[in-house]
Amino acid sequence: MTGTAAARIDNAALFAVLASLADNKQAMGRRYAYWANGAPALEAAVAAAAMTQDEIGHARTLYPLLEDFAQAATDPRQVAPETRTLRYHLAFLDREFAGWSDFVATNFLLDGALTTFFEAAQHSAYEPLRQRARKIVQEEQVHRAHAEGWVRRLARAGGAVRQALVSSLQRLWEETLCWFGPDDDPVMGQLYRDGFIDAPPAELRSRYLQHVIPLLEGLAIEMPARFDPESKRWLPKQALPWERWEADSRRLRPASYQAPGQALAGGEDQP
Amino acid sequence: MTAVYPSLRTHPADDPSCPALWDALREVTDPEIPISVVDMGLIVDLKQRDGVVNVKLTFTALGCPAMDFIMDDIRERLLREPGVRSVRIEVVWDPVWSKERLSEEGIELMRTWGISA
Repeated sequence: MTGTAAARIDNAALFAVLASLADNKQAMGRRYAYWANGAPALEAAVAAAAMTQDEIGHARTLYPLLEDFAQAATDPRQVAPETRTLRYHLAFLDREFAGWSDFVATNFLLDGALTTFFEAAQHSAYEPLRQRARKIVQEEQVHRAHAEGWVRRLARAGGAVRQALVSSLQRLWEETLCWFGPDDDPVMGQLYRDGFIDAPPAELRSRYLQHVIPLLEGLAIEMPARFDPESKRWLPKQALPWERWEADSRRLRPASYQAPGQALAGGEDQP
Repeated sequence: MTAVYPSLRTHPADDPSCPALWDALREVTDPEIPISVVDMGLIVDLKQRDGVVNVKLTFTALGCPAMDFIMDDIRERLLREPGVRSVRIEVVWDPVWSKERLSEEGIELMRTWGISA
């Protein structure tokens, strides 16, 4: 489906979220690719290669949708990954993974969060998203099994291996929870009101926590979430760092961020 | 549960399901496994009108690296059929591909190649 100027969809919220989904999938694929040749087991390397192909494929099927939007006219270079200079993926993906535990945490937490979104889009009023969401959810079942298996394996290994996993989960935790947006996020809220997804951001975050917390609890890995008996929902235990939230790119400024004009702490390594 | 697709073996040549075109596409194989795009269940819909063939095509995976090759091969093969002037291919993801889309022949071929189906 390619858009013509006359038929273009004018929806800034949907355009922004599709761009973020595509950028995150693309960046994950590129980070995963490194581990196709460096995973701790041959089977894991093969799986990393397969998941690389899947994530790049998900990105490849999402980017062309951007062409159908009026918002693409502002800067046509931004709709194709080859020419796109904006990077709306999580800041966590700016740098190469420090180790295999970062791969596992990304697959489990970040990819899991995006899958929560796609699950909510399986009956989307926007047909191209609805079609892709169903296919992505199907493919992500295998990623989820891989992620959960490796989370268990690393957690049960104990010692430094378990600690590395916990550290990776902690570094990705807040930014992943923030990706859904604040409870009153106008972008995700608009998608919900327009029927593009079936839940507002707070509900998406809660569904997501419902998915990840039981496994972590079972492994005695404590993450800052609490079960609210009244609403029977999982909620973040602490306030999320919205002061670092960049609404346009749906990512957090790194905690070490300095105002423009000052050097970033450490060089960025863009995927 | 397997899928059955039109063929001149089972349908008259003038059947609206375009059995000759389905048979033509049985000569187009997946570049990775020698199984036709029909038996693989990739052809979702096929219609011909006034020399234009509209194909709805799906893939087993969003990241299928052979998408462009397969589309080129489908286009090239259909254009060799009498009366076909142009081919339009639309990639669709609904229905989501699953093993139920394989034909009986497709399942047999997959097993021959050691792939469970």
